[in-house]
Amino acid sequence: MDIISIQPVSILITIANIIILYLILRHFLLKPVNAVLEKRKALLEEEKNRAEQINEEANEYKKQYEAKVAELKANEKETMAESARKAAKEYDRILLDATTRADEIIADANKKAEMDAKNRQAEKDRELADIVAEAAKKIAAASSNAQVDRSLYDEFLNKAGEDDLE
Amino acid sequence: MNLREKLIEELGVKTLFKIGPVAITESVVNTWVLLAIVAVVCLLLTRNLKVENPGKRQLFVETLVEWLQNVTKGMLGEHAIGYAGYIITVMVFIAISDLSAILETQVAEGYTFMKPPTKDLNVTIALALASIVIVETACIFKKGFGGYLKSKTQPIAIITPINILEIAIRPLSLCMRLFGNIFGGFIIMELLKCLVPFAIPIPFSFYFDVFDGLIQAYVFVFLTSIYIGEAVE
Repeated sequence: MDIISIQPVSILITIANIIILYLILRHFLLKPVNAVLEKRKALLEEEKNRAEQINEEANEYKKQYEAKVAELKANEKETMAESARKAAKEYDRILLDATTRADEIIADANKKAEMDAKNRQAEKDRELADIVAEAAKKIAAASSNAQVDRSLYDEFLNKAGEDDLE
Repeated sequence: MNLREKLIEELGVKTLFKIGPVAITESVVNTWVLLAIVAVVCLLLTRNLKVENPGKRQLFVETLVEWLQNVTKGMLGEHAIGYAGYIITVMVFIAISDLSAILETQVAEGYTFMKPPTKDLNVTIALALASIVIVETACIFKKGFGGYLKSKTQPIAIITPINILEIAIRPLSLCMRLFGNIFGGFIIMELLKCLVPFAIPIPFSFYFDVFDGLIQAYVFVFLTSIYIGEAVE
């Protein structure tokens, strides 16, 4: 038995074995595993595309939402301005009404006070007339002397003074 | 049987049987056994592969395949990616052949299961021949026959004889490096087993059978990849 011998048949069989191993690895290992890896890659690509599409849709919705919010904000400003205008108008109207009414009330009150003063003056005049009439009556009815005249005169003055105080 | 006879007995390549005039050596039989094991392992590993929710087994095989493909593609370069399948095959062939020495057991008189097939010079010659045929064929496919002949005169015409010699030197160096390393390791291991059969050979086996075996597989495919890469540049 030789330790080292070259046998062409063994070399050829080994080359055949290498080819067989290549086929085994290709069909039983590399091909199925690569097929799964490719499928997974395609799946991931699909998922990525879908996610991108959803992202785009979300961005579109976001843009729409932002446009709507901006529109609402603009409307809100306009509405607020309109409301402020209306409120100011209403305020002016109410103020004008109130001023007018207050003026009217003041005018009425002044008129009433004037009338009351007139009435009181008239009452006083009447009472004075009554006192004068009564005094005249008493003078006419009683004997007249200086003492009586003086007492009547004092009574008249007292009554007139009480009325003024009242 | 003295040590010398025992060593010669272990180192020799026996013819186990003949099919007509064709002598089948033990390295060929061991290679067939290894191919059968590889086929069964591949079938088991790639059974019920799922695109979603892969199991631990599938993750392992996917990682292994991706690593093998990335390593070979990295060595070959982008122009020679088409030869990744061959490089993976040679890497696996040499790796399993070298690692098979761990399983070495004498199962019958005259037959030891598993002597590493790469210990047989004929196996390493076959690997080197296959590699160099691939390298030269790759060059012819890429550049055409005229371009191939012209490439032998590059970069200057004066080195044409050296380029032609390289056709023989490259496979010879590939073949002898692998054979020398595995054969040398095998001799050391057999000597150790003869002298100290218990415990001591284990760490040496890890170095010569596992570490050196895998390093040789890597060196062989690395050099072959460089040759292919140069050929298709």
